[in-house]
Amino acid sequence: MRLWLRRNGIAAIAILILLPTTIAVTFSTEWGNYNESRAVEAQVVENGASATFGGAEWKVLNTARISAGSDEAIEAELPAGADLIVVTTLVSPGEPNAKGESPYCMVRLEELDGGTVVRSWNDSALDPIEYRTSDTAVSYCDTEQFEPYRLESIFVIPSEADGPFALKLEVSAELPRYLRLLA
Amino acid sequence: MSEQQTAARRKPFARSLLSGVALTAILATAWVVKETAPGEEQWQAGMPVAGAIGDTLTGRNIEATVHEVRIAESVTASTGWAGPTTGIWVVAEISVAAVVDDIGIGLGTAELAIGDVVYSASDRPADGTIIGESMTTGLALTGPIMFEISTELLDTADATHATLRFAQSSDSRLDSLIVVPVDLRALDIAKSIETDEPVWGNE
Repeated sequence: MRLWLRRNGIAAIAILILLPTTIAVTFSTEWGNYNESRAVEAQVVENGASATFGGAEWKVLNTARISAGSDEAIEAELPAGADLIVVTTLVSPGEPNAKGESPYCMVRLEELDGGTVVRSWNDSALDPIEYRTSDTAVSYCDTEQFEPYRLESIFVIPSEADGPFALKLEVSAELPRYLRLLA
Repeated sequence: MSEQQTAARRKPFARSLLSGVALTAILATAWVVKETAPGEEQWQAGMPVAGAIGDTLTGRNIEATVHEVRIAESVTASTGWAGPTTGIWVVAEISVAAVVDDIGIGLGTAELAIGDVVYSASDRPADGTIIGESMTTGLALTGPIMFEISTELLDTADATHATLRFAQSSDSRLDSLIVVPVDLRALDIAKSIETDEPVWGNE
């Protein structure tokens, strides 16, 4: 055994080091590329606070809930057993980007349990409901708007969802980072 | 010849025998492993969540309930669409919802398997079914799905053990696969049926 170790010890040690290193490097590259295209690193912004991110300053101004069965819910033709969450965000664009545009964003609503996201919902701007966005706000990130404006995001959620909620705000150039604005 | 010399002569044979037994054992073990190890199809297969008609079945990111299954020679959807067929229609009334997130997802897999023959839900009725509609987290989408199948298959033994299968993605590998058995031979064949309009929301 000693003789074998003397002859092959260096090669054995090299294998023990190189094999796991090769596996780690291969998978970390794959995993890294996969993760970089997804919003996985949350930058948490407390309720009422603002954050500069992706070429603009963002601040949640108000979060309202329209409950199932209310006059507003009936008027908005919400589906049965559903509430509507309306999040109003003040967007203050900074300097235009290389294309001469202010940042485009994508939003989702997250339901949290501690720091963990348990459920999330798409923006319902294109859902078949009759909710009308406020006249003083827009329902999407306006890339041609360079003055501060109000972004009104709506989410149809089941009535039993009781939060707490956060607005997930993604700017593609910032991935994998995103803003978690506590609502 | 002394006893010591005899023992020395036997030792190589014992070693050879031992090596032979060990080699046979290794080969046998390798054969068993090869024969019993799951292949690519098995280790990439969807993870079945099975239940009966009427059960609410919950997978990783899909919740589904099959309310009713009917068979008819012709179907008229809520949109007024009526589909002529040289086969026969199997119509299932189902509810589906996303469980954790609804990022661009619909009912990607909706299949009826009869033995080795697998049918995908028809997109011919367009808005008359829930195929192509988006699912919402925690909010049900209820409506019909329709399968246009060969009439001859209803007379086979496999029709007794047909299964409805649903998944969130069109690629159901390595994710939850809702599986609901249905005995097609036990169902009456209606001349004509009408289906309800798809409905979004919880009852």
